[in-house]
Amino acid sequence: MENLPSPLVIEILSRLKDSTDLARCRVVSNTLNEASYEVRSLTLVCSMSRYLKSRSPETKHLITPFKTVLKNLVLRSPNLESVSLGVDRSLGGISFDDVEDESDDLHLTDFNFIQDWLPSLSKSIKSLSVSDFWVQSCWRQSQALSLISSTCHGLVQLVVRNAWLVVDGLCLMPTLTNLTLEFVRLDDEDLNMLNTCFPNLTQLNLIGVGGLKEPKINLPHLRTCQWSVSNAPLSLNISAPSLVDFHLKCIKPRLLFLEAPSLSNFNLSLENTDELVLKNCGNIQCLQLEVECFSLGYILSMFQRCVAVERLSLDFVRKTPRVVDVGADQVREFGLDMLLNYFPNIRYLSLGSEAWRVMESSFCRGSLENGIETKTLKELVAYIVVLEIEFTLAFIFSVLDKCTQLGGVSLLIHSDVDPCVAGNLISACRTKFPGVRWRWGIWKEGIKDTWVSDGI
Amino acid sequence: MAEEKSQASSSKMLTLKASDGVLFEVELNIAKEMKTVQAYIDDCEDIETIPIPNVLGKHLAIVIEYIKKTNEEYDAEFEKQWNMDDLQLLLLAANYLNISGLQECLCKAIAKRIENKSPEYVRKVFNIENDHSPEEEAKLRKEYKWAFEGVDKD
Repeated sequence: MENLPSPLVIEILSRLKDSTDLARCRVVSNTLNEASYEVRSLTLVCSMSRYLKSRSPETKHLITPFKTVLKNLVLRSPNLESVSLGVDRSLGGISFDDVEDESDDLHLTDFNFIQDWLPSLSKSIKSLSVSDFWVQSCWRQSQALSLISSTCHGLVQLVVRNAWLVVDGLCLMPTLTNLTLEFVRLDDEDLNMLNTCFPNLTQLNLIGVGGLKEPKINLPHLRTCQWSVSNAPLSLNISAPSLVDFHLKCIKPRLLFLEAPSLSNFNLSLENTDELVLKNCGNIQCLQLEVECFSLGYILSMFQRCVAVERLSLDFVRKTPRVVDVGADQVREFGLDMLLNYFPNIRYLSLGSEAWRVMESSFCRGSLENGIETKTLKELVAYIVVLEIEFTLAFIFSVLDKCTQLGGVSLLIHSDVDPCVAGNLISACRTKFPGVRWRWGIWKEGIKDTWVSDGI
Repeated sequence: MAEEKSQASSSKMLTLKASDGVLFEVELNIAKEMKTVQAYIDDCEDIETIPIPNVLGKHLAIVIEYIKKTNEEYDAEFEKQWNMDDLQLLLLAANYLNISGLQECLCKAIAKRIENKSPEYVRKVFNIENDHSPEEEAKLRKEYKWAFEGVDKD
């Protein structure tokens, strides 16, 4: 690399994934040593191997403590713009029973530890990511947020994982636009402090954030949001005038309130809710719903004003099998008409396997009236399991008869279906509707879909 | 699947002359991906042959091919074909010609090749002379001793 000019050497060193490699480059030569201090990002991960060595009686004395390594690296590079430290994801699998001590050597959101090095970066740091060690952090409240907010005057991005965070002493962070909290217990039960102190967020990810009671997201500049929450909060309230992309996964909140006039892409996964209020959400174009079958009617009715929806994906939450309840098994009648009634302008429809199964059964029971033709639907994707080929074929043909402009049909057949049956299904479809652009594939739970071009 | 850049946008051809005299005829829209060439064209509108004094024909050929075929899949396989010397010369070419995508791809590739490697390996592979004094080196090694555990054998 001596042939390369210094700026290029720095570019290369900046792309090393771990700062341990950067540290070794300092030993290589003086040039590399000097160039290494121009690298503005630091990444340090405690691997499982390092963790085990630090615990083993034979090797623990040979291991420099992780916190010491981090501190030394930071103090030598006062112009760092990005710091990412954490334990490897594999350490997330360690449970309390595996651990015999109460050490805090990997408690990375510890206030005193962060205070040792973060202030030296107060003017330069733009991005900070801390992935804590759950075994050591889950029972230790951390005041890290107050320290970060009072120290980092220009922070733009903050990511914290696997920690217990309090919001006492949290200051305003006007430059922060990206916040991710993942598997964090946050003592801000209604998100008041979050809204007040991070008012300029454009991207918010709350994944498995606990400690919430009646959280309200009220952020004027928020554009994308991903929120995955347990059944603990009583209500979920989102008011975001600039929100364009929203991914919400919840279980059974009593109330779900959403006001998002700019919302274009909405991915909603919920079993049921007592009250769903969508205010000014008429601009949704792309809607993905995963709901409990029984709640479908109610939930769809709440989307009544969303006439801009052009792309719809629907599936039913697969509940774990329980004692057979005849009432529960009698799924409501549900057909294409119902969807088209609520979303008359859909061009693209994707049906998950449960949704397809219910629609096919409803059709085959003959309990639905045959509605009028529709010309808007152009493309259909469906995940199917073929139980009785005649029923499946009859249903597919009925859909094509009804949707006269349906030009593209993509069917993913479950991998457990007999290949002969699948083959027969495919040829029957191609023969009956040769003008349709057919696409075939195979699906299975937990595995990526495979597309096959010519038969299976 | 590799996709060729559309030729429909411009059928005008340009000639690039590498440092060893090798000539390459390329479509204008391909040449424009090289910001240095674009600047040349902006300055002299009627030019037909553009000299590329810093890049050998063999490397210019690879650069042109990259521009035509670049996509995620191609980029992932691209760097595997070249040895370290070629990677560095290609990086110099990409830098001179100001092709940010190729430069990024090559920087990542070179960084990947020195991950988890010893300083001796890095010196050999990049042909770098160790200009630390023995005392300096010993001091650094002591300071960063934690960085030397679990390193790949050379």
